[in-house]
Amino acid sequence: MTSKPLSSHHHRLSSRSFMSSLSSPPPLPPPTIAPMPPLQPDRGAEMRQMDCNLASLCEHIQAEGFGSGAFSDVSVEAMGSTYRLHRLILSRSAYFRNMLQGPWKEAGAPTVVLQIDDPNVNSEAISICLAYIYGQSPKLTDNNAYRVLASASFLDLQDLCAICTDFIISELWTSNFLQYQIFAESQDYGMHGERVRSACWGYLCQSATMELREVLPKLSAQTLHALVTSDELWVPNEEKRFELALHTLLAKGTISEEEENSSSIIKGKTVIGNSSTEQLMESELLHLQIQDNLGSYKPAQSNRINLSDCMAEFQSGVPFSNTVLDGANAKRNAADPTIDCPSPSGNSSMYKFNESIWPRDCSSSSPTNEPLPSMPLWANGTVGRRQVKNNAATKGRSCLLPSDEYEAFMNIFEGGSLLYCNMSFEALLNVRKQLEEFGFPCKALNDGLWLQMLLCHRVQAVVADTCRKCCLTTNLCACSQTYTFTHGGGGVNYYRQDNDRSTSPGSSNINIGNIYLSEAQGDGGSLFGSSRVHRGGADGLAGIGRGSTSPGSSAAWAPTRFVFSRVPVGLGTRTESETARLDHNAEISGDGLTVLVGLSEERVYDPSSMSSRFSGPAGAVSGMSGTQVQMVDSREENGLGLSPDWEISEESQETSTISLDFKTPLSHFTPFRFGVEFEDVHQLTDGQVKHSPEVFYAGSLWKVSVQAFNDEDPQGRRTLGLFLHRRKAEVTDPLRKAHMYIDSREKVTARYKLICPSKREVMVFGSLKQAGTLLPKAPKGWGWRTALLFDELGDLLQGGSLRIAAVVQVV
Amino acid sequence: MSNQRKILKLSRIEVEPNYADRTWQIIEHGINQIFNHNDRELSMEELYRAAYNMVLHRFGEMQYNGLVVTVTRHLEEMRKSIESAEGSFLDELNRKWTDYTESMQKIRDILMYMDRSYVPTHHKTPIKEVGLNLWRDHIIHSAKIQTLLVDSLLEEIHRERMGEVINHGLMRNVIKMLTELGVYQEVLESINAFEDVIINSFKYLAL
Repeated sequence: MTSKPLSSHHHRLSSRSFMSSLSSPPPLPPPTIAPMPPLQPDRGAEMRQMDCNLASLCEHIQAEGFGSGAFSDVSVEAMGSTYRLHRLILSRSAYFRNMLQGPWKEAGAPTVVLQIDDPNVNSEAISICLAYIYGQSPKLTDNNAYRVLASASFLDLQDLCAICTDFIISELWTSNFLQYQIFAESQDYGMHGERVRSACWGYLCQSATMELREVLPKLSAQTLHALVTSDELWVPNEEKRFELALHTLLAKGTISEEEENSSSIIKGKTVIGNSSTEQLMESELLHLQIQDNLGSYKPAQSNRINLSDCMAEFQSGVPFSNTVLDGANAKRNAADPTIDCPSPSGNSSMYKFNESIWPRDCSSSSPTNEPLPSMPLWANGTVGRRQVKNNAATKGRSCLLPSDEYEAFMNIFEGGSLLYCNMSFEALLNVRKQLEEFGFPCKALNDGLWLQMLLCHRVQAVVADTCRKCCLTTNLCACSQTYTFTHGGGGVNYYRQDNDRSTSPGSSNINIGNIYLSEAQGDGGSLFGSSRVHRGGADGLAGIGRGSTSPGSSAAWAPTRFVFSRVPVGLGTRTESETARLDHNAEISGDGLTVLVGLSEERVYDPSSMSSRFSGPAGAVSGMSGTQVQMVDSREENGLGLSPDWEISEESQETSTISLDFKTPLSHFTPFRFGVEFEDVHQLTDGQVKHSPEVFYAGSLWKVSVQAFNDEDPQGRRTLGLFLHRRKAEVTDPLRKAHMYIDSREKVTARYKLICPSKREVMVFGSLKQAGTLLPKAPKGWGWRTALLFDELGDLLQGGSLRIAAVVQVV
Repeated sequence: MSNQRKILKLSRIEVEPNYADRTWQIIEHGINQIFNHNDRELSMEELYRAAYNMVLHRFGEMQYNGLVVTVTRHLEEMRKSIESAEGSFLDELNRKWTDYTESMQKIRDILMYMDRSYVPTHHKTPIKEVGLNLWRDHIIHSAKIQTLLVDSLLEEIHRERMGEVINHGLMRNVIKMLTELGVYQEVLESINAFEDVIINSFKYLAL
């Protein structure tokens, strides 16, 4: 199967020129002591003489001036050393210039005493910096580069900072990654620090799954969360991403325990009572049914935290603090709170919702009125039906995590970092089992499963609606067009809905009698206040997909938040009138949300944490409420014409109600992420292709290929093309049949990005904000012929292999 | 790895809860002294170091906001002083403006690290521009001063037209200030009737 990439619609050139403006000068062009440019014949003896003169001046200044301190007019004392220096030379640094010429005390003083508090600065680094001012090139090593950077930053030697940063980036390896990460993260060294930080980020994204795996537990909670959430993280699939997070959680627990064993007790670390944590916790608690065996159990007691028991070990530099619950386990065990996870398949009697037993506001219920640093509820007692004791061996360690760590993991597992809907069912079962053992509520996971089913239905519905000849939706297809429809005036909104809402879920994907048409979703407020037109089922088919535009012209659309509202039983959401629900929807439709039931009554899940993943796209889209948006929406919704609102009855009988929505356009679903690796790409001969294995997503099989070219770059350099391929899925393995469905279209429209993370930069090709590309028929691919340059591969490879993270979304 | 351990230990600087407040107090005191012309005994080394440490420990935002607040407070004092200046309004304005720009230059010297690192990475306005903006917003845009300014300028021009000798240097400085602030046009437009007269008069003054 030779893949001949069709076209390159985006030339690397444009992105290169952008990148190059950001990228630094080439690593370490050491400022030569005597600048001796290659002599050109036309410059003659005079110039040569001048160069000689300059060189001798430099030598004189360095030897006599810096070396011997001859004619010194100012002394500088720093880090225990005294340097006899010269105002004229020192004034090369803006720091010294301002100090020596301003109105300051130091201006006329014979001796300037520098006190430098930054612990990264030492005597040697200061000496290197001062010598640099006198023209000496710095001798950098792994051990002093960051020190020289810190000193140069203090003395405002911007050129030297750049030299150090280049050195650090070029010498960034697994062995020293952590030191540079912490160096750049914990202090603000301006743009130089940011360059080190972004190099660390790129390296981390590239290698976190493999080479840097053991470093992850030592990262800050913030960085860890960002990493696991990021599309830029190279990881083969969503299951591996979960494994990575779980591995880190376990390792963190181990570290905490180790440190507890050797720690000295210091004064209690005040943990900032992060309101979002509390909000989250509170919302979690509403879902937790706590069995109170003793009846007199007081939550405040069992959760009281004696801050003097908070231990922190600072040797690691990362502020781990191990919080230990006061009263230890005795009280807790006596109380024996059982925390149940809502489970769609669970015994419903286990899932009684008992809100009153738990205080709504955890922190205020604490007797000391201290914020609860740890809140390891999820590791406290028995969990779910599995009845796993938290102190059983290794799992119990995790309860020692401080609250910011806890929050990070809560966000990772429940807050949208992991796209559970893209995991296979087997993987989901396994993941669920593990999360339950840690007492995570698994709601995001359950939602993911529903979402997966919905995506399957939606894809199949779209396929059913697509002309097999021309790959366009039926309404666009000239092959069988029988009905034309023109839009009404701009202000007219259509809301069409079949009255039959008793459609059973199983058959709903073929029920095209329900037409839900909302043209004006992009208009936000006016959306659902529009007129409603009852429409007979008879013309349902004919109306499919009217008003759509060609896929390329549609504007970006914010992905739907893939969380469905969950409302505890008894809050009466099912009895809410439809009007109220629609009004409510209108308020939030600007975010691209589909119907959320009862969200205003009970903020069960903190939407801000859920939406964080999508804050970028959503923000970018907020201003784009044009007709194109409307059209896309109406096409997709109209084309499906399914019941707009479907409540899952089984679920609602238990703790919560999930409102799934059959009008959700495909572009609202979470994108699919996978990572591929190509070994020995630098050995590819011209025209040679390497293909990645195929992965299944949305009824199709996807892969990435790389191909070497020698005829694409205008400057004749060899390039490496990156291409995405898609073909319809084939069910060959009977074992997988249950989870496979087939998108039988020859061509699909998708938006995607291919990301190549490296310490030099994180290169991103394509965007999920674009309208979408009609991918060519298999085996052709679509992508960039000039994505990478062969001469740059050295900086991009990790252990000889090229890692590409792909994000795909069928629209 | 022993090396790494050392770094980790070092880079975690003990930052007490009131570290930032205390450090900022040092800087604020310095700024006050600068504005009050008591800067002869100030140590640039000490102030720069304090400002550097604050930014280094990611209190750049606090420093930046603190600067704006402090400068604004001094500007309010200046505004009152300028407004209450009776006869020599332009003189007083010019004197304060000169003082102010000199003070801001010194403040920029001690806060240089913030200008170098915090400002560009957080996409803030550089200190020099902040200084100009604050002066414009609090002094020039003060209704009373604006009226006084326009009247004084017109009066000077009128006097010159009448054959009197006026202080060209002062006029030039004031016009330069307005140009630097980017409000030259704005101030002029508030006196439409005399616009062309003034532009004609000012052209040779400003050049």
